[in-house]
Amino acid sequence: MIHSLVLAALVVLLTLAGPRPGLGAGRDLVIGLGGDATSLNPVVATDGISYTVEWPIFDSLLELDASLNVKPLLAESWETSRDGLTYTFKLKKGVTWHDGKPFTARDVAFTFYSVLDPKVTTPHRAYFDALAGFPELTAKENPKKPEELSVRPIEVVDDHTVRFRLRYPSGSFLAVLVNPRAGIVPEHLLKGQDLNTAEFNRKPVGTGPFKLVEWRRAERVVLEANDKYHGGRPALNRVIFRIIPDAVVLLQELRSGGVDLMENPPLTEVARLKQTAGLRVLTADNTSYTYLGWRQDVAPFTDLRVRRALNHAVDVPSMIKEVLQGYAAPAAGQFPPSSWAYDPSFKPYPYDPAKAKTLLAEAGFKPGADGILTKDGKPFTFTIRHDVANQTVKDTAVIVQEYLKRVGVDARLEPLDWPTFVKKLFASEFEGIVVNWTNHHDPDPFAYTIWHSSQWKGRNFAHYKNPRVDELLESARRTAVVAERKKFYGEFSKVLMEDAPYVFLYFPQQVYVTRQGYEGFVALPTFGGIYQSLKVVRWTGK
Amino acid sequence: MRDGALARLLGHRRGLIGAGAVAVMLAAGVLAPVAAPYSYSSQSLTQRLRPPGRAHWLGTDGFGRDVLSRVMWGSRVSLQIGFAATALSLVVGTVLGGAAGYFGRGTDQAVMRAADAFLSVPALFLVLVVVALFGASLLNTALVIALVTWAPAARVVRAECLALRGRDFVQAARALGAGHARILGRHLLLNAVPVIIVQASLMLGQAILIESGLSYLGLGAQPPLPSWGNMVVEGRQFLASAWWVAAFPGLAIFVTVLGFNLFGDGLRDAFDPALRGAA
Amino acid sequence: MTDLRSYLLRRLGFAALMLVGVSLILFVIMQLAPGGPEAVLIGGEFSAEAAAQIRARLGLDRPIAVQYVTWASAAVRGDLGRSFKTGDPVARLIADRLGPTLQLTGAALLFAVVVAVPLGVLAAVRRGTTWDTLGSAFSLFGVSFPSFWLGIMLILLFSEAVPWLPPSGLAEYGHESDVVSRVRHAILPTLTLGLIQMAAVMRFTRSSLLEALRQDYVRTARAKGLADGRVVWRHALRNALIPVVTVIGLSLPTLVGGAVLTETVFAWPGLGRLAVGAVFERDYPVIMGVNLVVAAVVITANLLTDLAYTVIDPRISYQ
Repeated sequence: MIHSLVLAALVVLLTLAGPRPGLGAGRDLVIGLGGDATSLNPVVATDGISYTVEWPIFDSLLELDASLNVKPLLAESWETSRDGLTYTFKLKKGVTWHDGKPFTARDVAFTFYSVLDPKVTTPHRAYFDALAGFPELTAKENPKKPEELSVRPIEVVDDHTVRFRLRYPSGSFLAVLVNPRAGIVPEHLLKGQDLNTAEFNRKPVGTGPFKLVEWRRAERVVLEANDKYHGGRPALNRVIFRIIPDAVVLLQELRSGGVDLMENPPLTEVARLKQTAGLRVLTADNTSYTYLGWRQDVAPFTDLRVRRALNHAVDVPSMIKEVLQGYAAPAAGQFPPSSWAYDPSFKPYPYDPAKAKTLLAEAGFKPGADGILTKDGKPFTFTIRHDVANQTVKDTAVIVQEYLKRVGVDARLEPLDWPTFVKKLFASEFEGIVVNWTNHHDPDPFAYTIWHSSQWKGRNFAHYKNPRVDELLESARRTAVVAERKKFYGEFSKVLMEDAPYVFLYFPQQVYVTRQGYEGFVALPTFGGIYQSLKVVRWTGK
Repeated sequence: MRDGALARLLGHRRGLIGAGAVAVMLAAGVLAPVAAPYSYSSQSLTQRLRPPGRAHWLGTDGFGRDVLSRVMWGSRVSLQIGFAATALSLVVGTVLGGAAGYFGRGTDQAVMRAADAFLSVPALFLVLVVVALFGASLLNTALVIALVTWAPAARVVRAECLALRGRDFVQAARALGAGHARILGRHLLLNAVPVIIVQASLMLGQAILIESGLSYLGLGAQPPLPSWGNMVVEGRQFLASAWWVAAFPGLAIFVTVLGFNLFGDGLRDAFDPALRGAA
Repeated sequence: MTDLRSYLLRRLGFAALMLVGVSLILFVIMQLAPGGPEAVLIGGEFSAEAAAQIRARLGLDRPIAVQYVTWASAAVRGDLGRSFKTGDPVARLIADRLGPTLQLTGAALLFAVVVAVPLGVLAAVRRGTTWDTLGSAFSLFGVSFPSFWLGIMLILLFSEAVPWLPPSGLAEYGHESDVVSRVRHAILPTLTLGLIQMAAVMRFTRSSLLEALRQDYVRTARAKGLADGRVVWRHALRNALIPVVTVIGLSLPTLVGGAVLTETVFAWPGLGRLAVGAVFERDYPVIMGVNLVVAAVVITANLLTDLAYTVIDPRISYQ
């Protein structure tokens, strides 16, 4: 009898014991991720989570400062030739790989030649379009090898000097040489291997502030500080990425101490999180943007009035306030507020449902019996496809549908899972879409690949075609002078806004929640901007 | 056996309660377009996450939509899929089970082996694969739920036909020269109707459970069309602050399934009082 | 014993056939579906060129028949291929996740049987009394709950409303070998899965025991004056156990597959979640592998269940 009582008491006691403090509180940083990386090789791994985990492991030649200008990292200094076609980088001396071997210019050349190699699967290739010999090196049939070119795009001058040669002056060249898309990989470990499937991708070796200790798939990635880091040993002991796919669970872990940093909590919870003792919320602008888009070459979207009407129909500020809790900037075009190409004098179309209705009436639509507009007997109805897994995009689509309904447009939502959605997107199999897309902190290459009429098979899946826009984008590409580029992109933005090809909705901000006591986070206004500062984050306990 | 069944059914308390619950849910679904206080999609971003109160009897969800109206509309989706899946499943199960029970031997073996095969694959997993890959339309979902639920129905019908085929009236019909189809259709299956109906009631409950599980995983009716399952999953993120968003749709599922189970029990007892109290 | 041997051989042969059939159907379904793993692997920087390269590298540009035969011939040798997403051997992924799932379903089943069988017997024996009514009501309620909702309600009650139990995960982070932590984390998911199973088993136990008690031989025994207790426990229970074993056997696919929902609600790192994730990411080798393993487990369990029948009731022979 007593025996079972004691047992029962024990069980009760054990059950009531509260949660324990997180592992290594203080000098470790535990980051919660919503999914696992696919591989840790910056040349081939191109999904968002892989970028995040790669960032502390690999350095790039340059990195960004708070205004998104480039500053030295592995490259100490550089010179540009007068004609803008040659860039000579002087590399930092004394840098070593995590395995102790010295870092040299040969690694730089190897990395970028790998990016250009058509056998390597990497979407980064397009960023280096300006390099000399690009068409020959990346040709589908009989691509040339670098040795066969008369002008070498990448030249190892000596152990610490590397030279790039371009075939046209490109203002965005420096901007693409930063993480997460341009980490440098070691030649001595990857030469002769198939980068797509190398064992290296699971056991990466970089020059970054942290090195890989352990990667347990779908569970965690453990990094530890690189004592020999050329920028000084990081203050943190270890960075541990925990993979927790469920957003609700991730939040619970943050609250109970199992996780110290997470990105993009459910926005409805942020207000409460801000008031929670022991937690801090950091926000920063971001370059990705969300828009309502449609096929440009399909009626009724071919009518400018219709496109403008749709722009007037959606109350973006209200949407941002209620659904995004204010954590977004309204979009008036392609370029986010943090971009130098951004022009604050552009205002988005104001919310004006009356005007929307007038424009639609002008375009020949009349309200039918059920309130839905019809023209020539056909109702104005179309399907909006979107990614089912992105909660914010889902919510946005639902609200957009509601606003459209109020002006008589019948939009049907068709959420698709990511693999199906992307496939249909790039095959241009859609009528309307609500999408959140990454962007680059430099206007090129995204502006070009999305809006140029030569890119219908690529990112211009909406089939936009405007000769004036083509002209402007080409001109902007071929000059390195910032003032000139700014002029071209300014004109481009103006034409685009007047043409209203999309309803540009908003630029969602990055929102991070972290434990009080960690200092040093700097969230750059670009993708994953906080991860660059991990090397300076330290625990002060305050 | 069927005489007096109706009387027994009407006197069966649990069965009546079940019937009542089902009737309420059915009515809610059928009458939703006219009886629901709000539209299922009308958002009011200033009325988000309000607790149950005068204006919104069951509260509002994350978009300010009325939970009661959405539960009523959700009834349509769940019941539609439930009935469609059950009907399909019963047709397949009855035909195959009847054939197995009547013809025996080879046919029986074949059908039973097939049933075994379908029973070894975890239902939800197979449904998940098909629906995730091919989209969650009414037809797809009903089809695939039917695929995983026909086997128990076939078993039951087979057992009934096995028992019945040795009976006198079957021998008599054979002697009179009736063909197989006639015997099967007219005599055996007709007598198996009670068993089939009981099975139907239970299968409806199961179909609704599977469908709501699918919705929970994101594979059911898509927003803004409400289904009970996707309402529960939307409400999960607000569990601590607004429990009603997840609680009420789940309650609806529970009441409906319970209703079908109770009703099924009542039917079973009514048709065969010898089994009364046995289930 | 040749009876047993030929029976086993036949069953095993048939099992192999079933495994092939099920996997073939699944394979074809996956190939027919729109979209593929390349979208997930590339992420936001999608390009048709990269997509085509990846498909070629994964062997997805070969004819379906070739792909299936390659997979099947490797699977027979125990090589389930490598995950499209991570490149890890599928067998290892499954082995890692099998433990937590078996732990969960095993605990739930144990809980269900240990609680339900005595309760069912009690309800049958005390038929008509309050015990019976309560028990019936409880078991009826139990099979009507959607498992994911039950899980969420349990979390609401025991984790949010009062912070007694942890709401998710296998164990406290960093304390994976801590038994106390693991037990605490297992309580709510086990209850979720177990309560529903318990209801089903209880219902069945009660009805089958009642059926058994009504049999002629029981009445005869009673008439002969044998004490009630002995009648029940000796004869009736033995016969009643057969359907109970059936129900347990039948519930295996539900448990292993239906654990999918419970695992999702509680973020339990088991096979169910592995499967769900693989389906959403179009990770074909993982989907095929999990399906194969689960089907094999279930078929084996069925076989064992059937063999168990012969032990319980010698009248049943190997037909």
